Amino acid sequence: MDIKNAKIKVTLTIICIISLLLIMTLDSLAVIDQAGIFSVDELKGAYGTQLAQLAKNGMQKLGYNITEYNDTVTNRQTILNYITDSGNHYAMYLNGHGSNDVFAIQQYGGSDTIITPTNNTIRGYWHFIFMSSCYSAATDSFANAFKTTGYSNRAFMGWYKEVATAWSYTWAEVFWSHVGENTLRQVALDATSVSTTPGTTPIRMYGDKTWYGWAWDK
Amino acid sequence: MKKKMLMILCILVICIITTTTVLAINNIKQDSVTERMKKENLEKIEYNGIESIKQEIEETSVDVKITKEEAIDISKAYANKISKINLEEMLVDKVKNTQLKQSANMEKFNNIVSKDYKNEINIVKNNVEQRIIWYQKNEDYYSRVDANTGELILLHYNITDFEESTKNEEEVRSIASELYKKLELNNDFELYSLSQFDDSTWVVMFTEKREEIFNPYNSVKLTILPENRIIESISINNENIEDNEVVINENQAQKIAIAMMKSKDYEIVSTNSELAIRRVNSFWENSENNYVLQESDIIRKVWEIECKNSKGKKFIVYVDATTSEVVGGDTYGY
Repeated sequence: MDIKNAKIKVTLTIICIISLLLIMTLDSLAVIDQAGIFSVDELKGAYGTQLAQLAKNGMQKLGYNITEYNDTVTNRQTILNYITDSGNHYAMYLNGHGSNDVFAIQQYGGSDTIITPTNNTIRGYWHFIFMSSCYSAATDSFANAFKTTGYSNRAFMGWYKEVATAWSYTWAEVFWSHVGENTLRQVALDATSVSTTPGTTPIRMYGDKTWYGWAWDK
Repeated sequence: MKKKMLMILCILVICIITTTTVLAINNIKQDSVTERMKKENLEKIEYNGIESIKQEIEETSVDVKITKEEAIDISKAYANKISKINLEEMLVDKVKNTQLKQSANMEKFNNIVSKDYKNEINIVKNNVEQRIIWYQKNEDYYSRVDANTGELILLHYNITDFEESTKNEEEVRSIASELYKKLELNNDFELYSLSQFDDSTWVVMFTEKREEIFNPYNSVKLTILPENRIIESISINNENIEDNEVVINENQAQKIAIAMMKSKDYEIVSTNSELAIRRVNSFWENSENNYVLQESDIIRKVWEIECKNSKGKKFIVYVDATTSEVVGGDTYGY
């Protein structure tokens, strides 16, 4: 009788462990792509908060789980931590200053306030990056550093020259309110076409031209 | 009798003087662009977040002049016209002819004219553009049509076959101009700007020229794939412009802009200016560098003054060409 009971206990324990392992596996498979929204403190007054809010709403519409939102970034480490942290961080919106191959937290800050595609700080295979800073997409360096080129269902967006603040905000309103309806490329082109700014907003995209931008598990 | 006539005459004179005075006061009030903008913004619907920028509404809840069927026909007419142009143009490059014949794009444009589509269409209130729009889509293209004026706002083909462009800016300019001419839009718009979007796509803007000033609010934007000479999308913008007189000169405008910047503690080292047509906005109606953008429906001739500080940062100030008020601007804050 005791042996029988012991056998039942062992069987039940094994079943429990297997079930637990199965649940954990399924849970890890079902995890939602996470996104971080960052806007530098210096741009808080120049639509920084509004732009970050639009991006947050847009990313949520695309199915991303926003795990970090910060519209007062003063230290590059805040962003670098999100880039290097383990987890399902696959999308990011970054609003800041920039020049060729430089994303800057401060417009006139030192070398410790910038992120570049070559300083080995960017890791991982990202799905969707929108770097809203002057010249962020002038070359494909950032797009390559985030590994968003050469694969399907990945994209990098940015500006290929300097961009006026109010015009980019007008563009962003149209873009984020239409994401998910067509491919990212089409939505970006439509925002450029439809937004009534006096000039063309210098948006540029690298990556999969046919991708809608949806979080992968959606 | 004479007295009676005199009295009537007096009353008439008083009436004319009163009416003229009231109209004059009203005109003086109307002349202030900033006041009008403030009033207009107060009347605008408050919206918050992307969900309220674009709201789907019930067809029955709104009275519009263009029916769903008419909107589909308007889009179809443009889609057919551009498809025919694209097919003709794709055949221009004889070397690529054989390859193109097999391409998905060519098949798509061939089919569009004859195809009977199952269209998905809904009506949307756009709170940014302040208009009601028919959003239509089918498997080959999608479009937006103003539900009251019937004007096509946007038509975009679903292109899947992209070829990397080998054309330089001058070649793209020439191809874009040829494509635009073929559209026969009955206007004499001139090429205003062109920019490369990705390795295969360019965006080209044609605008009206009013008294030698480009008017970007009466414009046509084309997305083109220059390698295959394809128009991928077209958008048409046609807004009312106030034909205000240019009263102040460039020097006066620059002084006004610099004075305004100084009052906000900006140190300006150089300026650049041009007469432009711009939508007025509330960009400089801020406190402590906290910009709040309220774009207005008012579009006027302004002096666009580009001011640079000692570090090279650029600020834009719009000075109204008639009233000399500061009526908006922008900054290259990035």
